[in-house]
Amino acid sequence: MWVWLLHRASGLVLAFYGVVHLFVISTAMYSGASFNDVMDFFHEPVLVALELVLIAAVLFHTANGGRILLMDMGLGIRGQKRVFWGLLSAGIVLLAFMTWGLWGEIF
Amino acid sequence: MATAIDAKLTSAGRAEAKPGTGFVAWTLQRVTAVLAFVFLGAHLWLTHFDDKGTITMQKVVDKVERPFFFFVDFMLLAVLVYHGLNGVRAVILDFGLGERKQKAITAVLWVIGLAGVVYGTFALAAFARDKSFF
Repeated sequence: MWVWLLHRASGLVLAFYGVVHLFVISTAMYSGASFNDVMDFFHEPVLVALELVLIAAVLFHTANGGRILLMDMGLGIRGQKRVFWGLLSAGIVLLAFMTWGLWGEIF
Repeated sequence: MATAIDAKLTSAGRAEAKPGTGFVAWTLQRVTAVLAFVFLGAHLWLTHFDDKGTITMQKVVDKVERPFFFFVDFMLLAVLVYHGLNGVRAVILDFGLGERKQKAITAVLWVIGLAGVVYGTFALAAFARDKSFF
């Protein structure tokens, strides 16, 4: 039940982010300078740290989504828990990789 | 899973495309999920890994002016808008509001989705403003 709930929660967070992202990027319609200002703002350490939260949400939603896709095809139904933890581990590895990549921008 | 709420199963356990069961939405959610995975991976790689450092207007212009990048970003927009709004629809429908309200909400979400894709395409095109093919 918790996995289902987290899938929904992460989905809603990502949907909300999508709307924000759309409006942020569209500042480019006004001028290149305004876009550059906005991009500089998003390089503040706090916001880069928030990006990691976003990445975590994407990776969880993708990993669990992958599990759902497998199950819809009839695979891994009996080994559900192993599939879940396996895909989630892959996600956590990717998250660690991304954190390492963004570390310099946060601290 | 919550998004399989309307898919009717045959006696053999296979989802069947009866009208009114939400089969198209259910299937497209999965199709767009896989496509999103592909296009998001491409987008992240091309945007952030190939070119590190602060994003500037010029960097984006250099990318979006090239048809391949524009295509990837456009497909990502279309696929994610569909997948996201379909997901939001699933969450709302699970509150059990009754058929008339469900249809109204679906219609509203379609309008929002199409508006979002149109708006997003204009935003994307803004980066390629100086290029001749627009």
